[in-house]
Amino acid sequence: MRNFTKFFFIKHGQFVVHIEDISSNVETSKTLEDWVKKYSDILFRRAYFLTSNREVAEDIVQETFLAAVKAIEGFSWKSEPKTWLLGILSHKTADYFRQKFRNPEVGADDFFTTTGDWKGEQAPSSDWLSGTENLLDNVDFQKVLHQCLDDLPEIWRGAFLLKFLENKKGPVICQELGITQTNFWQILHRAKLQLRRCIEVYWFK
Amino acid sequence: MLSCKEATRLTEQKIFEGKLSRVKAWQLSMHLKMCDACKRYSQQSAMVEKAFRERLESTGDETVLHSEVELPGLSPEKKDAILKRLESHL
Ligand SMILES: [Zn+2]
Repeated sequence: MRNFTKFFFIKHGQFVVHIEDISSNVETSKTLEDWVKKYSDILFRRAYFLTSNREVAEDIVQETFLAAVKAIEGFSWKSEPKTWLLGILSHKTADYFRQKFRNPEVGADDFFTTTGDWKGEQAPSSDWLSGTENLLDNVDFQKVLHQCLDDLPEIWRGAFLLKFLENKKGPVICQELGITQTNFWQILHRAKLQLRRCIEVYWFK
Repeated sequence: MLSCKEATRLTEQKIFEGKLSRVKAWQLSMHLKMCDACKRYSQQSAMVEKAFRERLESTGDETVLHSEVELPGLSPEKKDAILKRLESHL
């Protein structure tokens, strides 16, 4: 494992980063130890928000650090370690959701009739007067968001969250999941219908 | 004329991919002009999207108080376990 010390100096008004390889395991070990102390809570919180499962979230954090050790030579010391680690964590979480997609089930349609009309009270019938702009500092509203995400079957949750984790287009996501686009849209559609309904019932009514 | 089911599915496709084909975009806008429920759905679905994205981003912000919303930190035992595993990989 290689190691780096950094020197910054200003050249033509720009920061130039000079990296010196001092090949020392002690330094890498120290850096990673610092990172585990400093960032593992944040990484865990993100993973736990995404999965609602303590054990899964712990494993994802561990996977993230193990991947970080392997990839540390590719880390640009100009960037913030937290951002870099959160990026790795996104990919690890996406991998986890992708594994779950082997046999997706969509189930019966609770929202629409066979002709595609809204089923009675499922139709959005009232405006959300307050909007959501000022709600994100509201602890009770955050609890509702968590609760509604918890209530989603894991595959639906994955379909909804994958796009936040990696910047990929629909066709690429489907190819990786091994499902058809029609199937993916069906799952995503259901996930969003349920989330909207859940937030309305628990917050706006 | 699209059904409400098709219209809401297209709404999700539009949010997800950022755009629709010209024909589909036109069909959707025609439906939304005539259907209050689906119009509301499309506004509220965008709000849901935004709320979750912002909440997700805030989990990476150490200045936000997390204990109140039951988002715990990593257990000390697991931190030690990770450090041990990292050492064996060096
Ligand atoms: Zn409609």
